[in-house]
Amino acid sequence: MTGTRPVVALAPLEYRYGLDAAMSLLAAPDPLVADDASSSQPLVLCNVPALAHEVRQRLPHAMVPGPLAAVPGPLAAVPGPLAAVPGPLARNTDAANGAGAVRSALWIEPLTATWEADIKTLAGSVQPGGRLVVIASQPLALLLGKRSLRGNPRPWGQGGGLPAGARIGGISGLLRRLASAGFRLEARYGLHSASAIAANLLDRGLERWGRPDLGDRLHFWARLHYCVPGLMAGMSTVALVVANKVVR
Amino acid sequence: MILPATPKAGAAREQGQALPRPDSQAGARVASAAAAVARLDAWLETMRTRAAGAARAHVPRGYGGPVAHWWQQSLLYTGAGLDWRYEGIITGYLELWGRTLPGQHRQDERWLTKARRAGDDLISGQLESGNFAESAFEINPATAGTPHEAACDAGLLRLALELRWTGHSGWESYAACAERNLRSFYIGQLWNPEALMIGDHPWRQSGPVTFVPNKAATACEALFLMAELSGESRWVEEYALPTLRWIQEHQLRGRKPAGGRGRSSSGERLRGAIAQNSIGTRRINKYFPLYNARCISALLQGYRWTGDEGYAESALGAMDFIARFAQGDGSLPTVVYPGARASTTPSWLAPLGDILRAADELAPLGFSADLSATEARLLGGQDESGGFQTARGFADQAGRSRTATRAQALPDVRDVLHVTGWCDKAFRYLASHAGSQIPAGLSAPFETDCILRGRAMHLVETPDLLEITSQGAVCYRWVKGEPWPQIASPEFWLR
Repeated sequence: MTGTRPVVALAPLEYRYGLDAAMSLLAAPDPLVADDASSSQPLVLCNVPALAHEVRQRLPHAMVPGPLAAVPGPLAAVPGPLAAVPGPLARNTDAANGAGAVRSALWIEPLTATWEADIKTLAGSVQPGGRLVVIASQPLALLLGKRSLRGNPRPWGQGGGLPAGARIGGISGLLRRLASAGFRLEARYGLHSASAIAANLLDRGLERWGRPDLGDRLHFWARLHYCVPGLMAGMSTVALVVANKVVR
Repeated sequence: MILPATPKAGAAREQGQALPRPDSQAGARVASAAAAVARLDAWLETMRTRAAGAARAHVPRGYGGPVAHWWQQSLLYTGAGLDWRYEGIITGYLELWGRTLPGQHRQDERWLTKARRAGDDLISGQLESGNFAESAFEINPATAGTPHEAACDAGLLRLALELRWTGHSGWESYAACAERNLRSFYIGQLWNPEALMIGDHPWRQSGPVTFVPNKAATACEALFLMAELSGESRWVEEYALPTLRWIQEHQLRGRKPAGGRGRSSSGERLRGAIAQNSIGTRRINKYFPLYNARCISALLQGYRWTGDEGYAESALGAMDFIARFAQGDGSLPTVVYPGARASTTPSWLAPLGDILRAADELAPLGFSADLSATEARLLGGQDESGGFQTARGFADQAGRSRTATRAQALPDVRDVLHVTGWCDKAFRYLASHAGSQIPAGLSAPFETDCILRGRAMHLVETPDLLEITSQGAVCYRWVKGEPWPQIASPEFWLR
């Protein structure tokens, strides 16, 4: 069933924001492909155990390579919570379903240890013309918020490994490697932008100083500037990358 | 002076007062409400998810659509939401069905069929945990949403009570569904046995105690209904009444204004208002008229149960606060801040149904402020689709921008959006005024120019599709019934 993660246990907004955007980006109909459940479901590579439930409550039919691919029926039919599956959800580097098996893919949190192998899987799985959406933490994610390691004994999202995008220049390197693997960059966005972060800090201050009316306005301004495109995307906690598999 | 309390709710139900109905209205007004309800019913039908298939077996069925709200939006998740929309939908259909008393011919059974279908949505969407899937409205996808699950429970319990009262079979399954949610979630997780109230956060989890009066009030409404259905007073005595006292503690009491017609102080203008919430010892002093209205029904139930006039005074005080801020055009601020600074961006349309309903409930206690302009504003929010628009002024929520001129000229997309979880409030209110003759309704295509984040757009809604274009290009396309839009440009990712 979709919508099964309790409100009090949801992932930080920027990851949910990215996942929701991905759902729409991956839902775009392709008239050349028959609209059956298997071909329309994206391949999912998720390297953050804490996001497994978020994926599952949006994509109960996701196509997953590796051991889970042998399980008949939709992903949600797998008994027990996905967190119980050994290793990160669907992270599998040696079990592509064959060239052109899927028309879209969602890659969540490339890791420094495995991103090269993941790209090979994706390149071998996504049809020419198919879409790839990448959600990746950026350096700011490790400095601010729930994922921050600073003064936070139990930061959110630990356990998967070092995010490739969290290194300085990590996303740029990832984009170059994706390009060489046959993915053309369509768009890049930053989620939870630096300007939104600054506005939120100020809005909390205004609230404390007795002007919640102004604080609320700043809060809503921050929401409007939560997602930024292009070059400013780097100054945000999470990157959302949209790419297309080149038709050769 | 407050009129004497009526007996406990069960007795009130036997007298045919369980679902409060206003005195007879002028014929034209009833006809107007009936026509509006008929068209709104037709629109609600267009918001149902499509028939289940293999690919949809794990998607809740029910009423879907995008959500615009003060706190945030859910413009991307468009599948069924098992949230407070079911309170208004079930109760509204019961209102339409229950026009006549037992022993007389009940009118059109289709209304009962629709009420039951909505209850069946909730039963089929209940999780092992007792929660409902996709129950978090603007936060969806998620479960364990508040006050939403209690609102679902209230709808289910009203349905069960009406079915039982009229000798229909099958009421037990609706009652069991609600009871399971109340026991496992509201009592099992949100009830705080130390603070003696229903909080907004599982009390065993770390963190400060959080309390949100309007959400707790919705839970209390469900608890009163549960007590009525089960005959067990402990639902009220142990849980609802202590929680109502917490609500009262969040209310600004203050002295009554002295005589004379001089300009009242901001403190006097806020008198009766119920603060939005508290986190630990910190009170969040924001006063939302809509959420104040949503406290009133539970306070009145507390009054009827105990005969304690303090509950009635609280309910009347909250409504007086709301009426004090009603403008000549019927609009109300969304929030009033300390110093009586009011924000009207946005100013609700469809949600006004809940405020008008609260005023109706208080009429027997002597509340008599004229809210006819507010009712006219609500009715004016209905368009060709049969749906009610959400608000006016979303574009200025973050303050007047460089696009102010355009923003003033064109509504925001979120203003004109028809949101099921707001339209249910209009539906419930109007159903209680619609009389027994409901004409045939039709949901016609609707289109309008609008803006989102300064970008000019054109919105078209048909019974099958919601499509928004900008400069000829589609930037949002939702095929009704689908859980996600096929197309959503980054503007629509907005939360």
